[in-house]
Amino acid sequence: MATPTLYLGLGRRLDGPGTSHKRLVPARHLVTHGVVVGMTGSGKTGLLAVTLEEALRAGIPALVIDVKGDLPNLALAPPLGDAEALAPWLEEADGDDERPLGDRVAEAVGARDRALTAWGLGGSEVEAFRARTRVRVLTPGSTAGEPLHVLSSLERRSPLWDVDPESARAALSAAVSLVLRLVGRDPEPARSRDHVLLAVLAERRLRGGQSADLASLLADLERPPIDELGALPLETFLPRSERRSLSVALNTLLASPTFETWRQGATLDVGAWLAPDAEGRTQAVVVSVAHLDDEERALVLGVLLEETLAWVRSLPGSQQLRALVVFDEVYGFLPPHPANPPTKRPLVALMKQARAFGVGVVVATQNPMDLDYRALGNAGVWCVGRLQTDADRARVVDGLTGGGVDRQATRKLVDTLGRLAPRWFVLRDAHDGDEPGLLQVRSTITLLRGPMTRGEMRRVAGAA
Amino acid sequence: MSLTDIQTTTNSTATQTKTIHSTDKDTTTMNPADPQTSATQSPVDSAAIEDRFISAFKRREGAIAAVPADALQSLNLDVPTVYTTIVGAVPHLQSLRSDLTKSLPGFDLSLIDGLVDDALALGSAHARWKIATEMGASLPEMMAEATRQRDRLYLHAQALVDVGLFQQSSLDEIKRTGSYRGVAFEVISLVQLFSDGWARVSAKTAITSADVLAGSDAADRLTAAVAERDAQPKASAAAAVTRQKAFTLLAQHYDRVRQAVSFLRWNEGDADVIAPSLYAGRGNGNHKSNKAAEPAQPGGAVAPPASPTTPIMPATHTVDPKALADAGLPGASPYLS
Repeated sequence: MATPTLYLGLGRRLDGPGTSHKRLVPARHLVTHGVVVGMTGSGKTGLLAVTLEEALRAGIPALVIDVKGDLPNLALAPPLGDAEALAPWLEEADGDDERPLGDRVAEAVGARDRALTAWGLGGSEVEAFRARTRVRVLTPGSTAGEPLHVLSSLERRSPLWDVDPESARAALSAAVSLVLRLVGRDPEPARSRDHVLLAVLAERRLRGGQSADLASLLADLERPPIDELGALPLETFLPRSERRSLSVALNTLLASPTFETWRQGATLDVGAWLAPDAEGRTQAVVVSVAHLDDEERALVLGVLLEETLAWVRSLPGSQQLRALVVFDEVYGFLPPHPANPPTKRPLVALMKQARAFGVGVVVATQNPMDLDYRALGNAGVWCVGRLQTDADRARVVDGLTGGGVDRQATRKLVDTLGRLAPRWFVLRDAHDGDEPGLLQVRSTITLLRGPMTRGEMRRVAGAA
Repeated sequence: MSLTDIQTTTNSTATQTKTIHSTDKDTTTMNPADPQTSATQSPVDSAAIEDRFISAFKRREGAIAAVPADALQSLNLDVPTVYTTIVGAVPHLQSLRSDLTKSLPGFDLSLIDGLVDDALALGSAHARWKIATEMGASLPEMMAEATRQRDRLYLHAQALVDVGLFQQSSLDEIKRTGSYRGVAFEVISLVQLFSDGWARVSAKTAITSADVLAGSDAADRLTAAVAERDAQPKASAAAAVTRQKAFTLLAQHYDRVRQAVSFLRWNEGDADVIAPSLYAGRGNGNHKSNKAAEPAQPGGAVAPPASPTTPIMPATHTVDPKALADAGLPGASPYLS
C-alpha cells in the first residue's frame, strides 16, 4: 500500500527564486512528531486544521486537544456552494457592514468555493471528506458537547490492569488527582497523603477485579481494609479524623449535581475513539477544555494523556502513522524544568515513545520558550510562523536547521521568521534531509472561524 | 557597544570565514581575533585587535571626512551586524574577481579590497560615538544614591526640628523634588544645615559626621555628572556625524559592489546570497514586494513569486489589508508588506 501523503499547501525554497510546488508530507514522517510555533495570527490553528483534515482524508484517526475552543470547528464541513449549511456559522457582521444576511452568505460561499478550488479541492473532495470522516466534540465537565466520564479509569476497571499495570497505575493516579482537585485538596501525587491513600485503596480494588467507584472508596475510608501504609500504621499515616474529613468531602462531591457532569458520558477509551465508527468512517475526537479553569484543564488533560499513553503502549509496533495526537496551544502544559503539571509526564513520554507504535504527536504554541527541550528535541517536523521576539526566533532556529546551517544562513532564517505573512511557515522535515523551505498553508475544508461557544457546540452535537 | 562587542562578533565571523575561504589572508589566517589563533597566543592580543579598528579608521579618515553632508545616509542598522555581513561577504566577493574583470572591465576591484577597511573604520567610529553617548549612563545610579542620602538626612533633621534643635523654616526649602539638580541642591542644603549646627546636635542624633560627608560627596558627584551631561551633546554630536559618514562611505562602496554582483549573477539569482543587503529585514519603504504573484494552481507550474531573497520591507511590518485578503490564495507573498 502506498504511503499516504498530507497535502499541506504550496512549498517554496527559502533561498533563491524558484517556482512553488505542491507540498506533500508523507504521513509516516509525523511519527517523529511535529511542532508548530508562531505568534498569534500566524495561522497555527489553520495549519493544524489542514494537517488534521489531511490525516482524516488519508484514513488516519486523530485525538485533538483543544484549549481555545477553535478546533471543534473541524466538525463544520458544509458542502461547496451550500449557502443554507454555511449561513448558521457565519460570523456576526461588523458595525460597518449593513448588507442583508443573504448577501453576506452568498459572498462567504463564493469566497470559500474560490479558495478551495484554487487549491485544487473541489466539490468531490469536500463530499468525500464529509462522507468518510466523523468528528466528535467531547466536553469534560460540561454537557455543551458530548460529556466525558473523566473518572472512568477510576470507576470502570480497565483491562490494562491485567497486561500493563504501570500504565494503568499512571492513569489511576491522574484520576485521583482530579478527584482531589475537585474537592479542593492537594492533588500532587508525590506530596499529598490523601492521594497516596486513595490511590492505594483504588488500586487494591481494581487489581482484585472490582471497580473503584467513589462510593466504594468512601466505604473503604470508613472501614479501611489495610492496617499499614508503607512502613507506618495507617493511623499514623492518616489518622481517623483526617480520613473522616476526606470521606465527608468525597461524599459532598458525590452528592453534588455539578459533579454528575464529570461522571457521565463517553468512557475514556482512546482505543475505541480512534477506531473506525460503525459506518466505517475515520474518527477525529476533539476534547475541548476551553470552558474549564487552568487547574481543571491540567488535571483533566493529565487524565486524558495518561490514558492515551496507556493505549499507545498497548499497540503493536509500526513504522506507519497509525493515529495523530494534536495539542493546540500547549503553552503551560509542557513547560521546561522544573515546572511539572500533570500533562507533562505523559506528553514527554508520548513524544519519546509513541513513534515506535506509529502514533504521532503534533503540538502548537505561540511561546517556544515554554516548551520542554526534550519534547522539542524529539520533533522531526517543524513549522514555524512569524515570531515577534529575537528570543523566540533564536529558540526555534536550532530545531529548524538541525544545528547544521552556517551563521549567515541562520541569520537569514531568523530574519525571515520575523517577517512571515499570516499562513506562511518555515517548514523543516528532518526525514527529507532538506534544508528548511517556505510553506503556504492551503485553505481549510472545514470552517476556520473563531472559538466555538457552548451553544454552538450543542448545535454541533445535536446535528451529529 | 564597544570595540569588545565588535571583537566578539569578529571572532565567530572569522571562524566561519576560515572555513569558507581558507586561503584568504586578510580575513582569516592573519586575523588576530581568530579564536584558533589566539588559543596559541596567550594572552589574546586585544591591543592588536583594537589597533586594527583604529588603524583602519586612520586609513579611511580622509575619505570619511570628505563625505558631503547632503549625501549622508541615516544609520538605523545594528553596526556589529553590518560589520559581520561585510566580513562574511568579502571572501565570496574575492572569488568573483576574475569573473568581474571579464564581464565588467571598468569595475574598480579596489572597492572589494577596501570593504573590510571600510567596515573596521565604521566599527571604530561607532565605538567612539558609543563612548560619547554613554557618558551620562551612570546618572540614574548617582541620583538614587543622592536621593537616599537626602531622605535620610531629612528624616533626622525633622526629628531635630521636633525637639527644637533645628528651625522648621530650615527644612521648608527642602521640597524633596525629583530632578537631578533639585536633589543635589537639597542634599547640599541638608549637609550645610547639619554642618552649621553640628556642635549642637551631634550628641542628639543618629547621623554621624561620616553620614554628612557621604551626603556631601553624593551631591558633588551628582552635580559634576549633570554638568558633564550638559556638555555632552557637542561631543556626541560630532561623534555621531563621523559615525554616519563612515557608514555612508561603507554603504556607497558596498552598493556599487552589489550592483556589479547582481549584473554578474543575474541568471543564477544568487546575488543576495553572495552579497546580502545591509537592510535585509529592515526595509526602505520600497513596496515592490507588495506585488504578489498571480494566483496559480497548486498542482501545476506556479509563477515565481516576488523573490524571497530580496525582501524589502518597511521597518514597522504593517499589514496591508489587500495582502491579507489575498493571503488565503495560492501564490500570495510570503512576507508582510
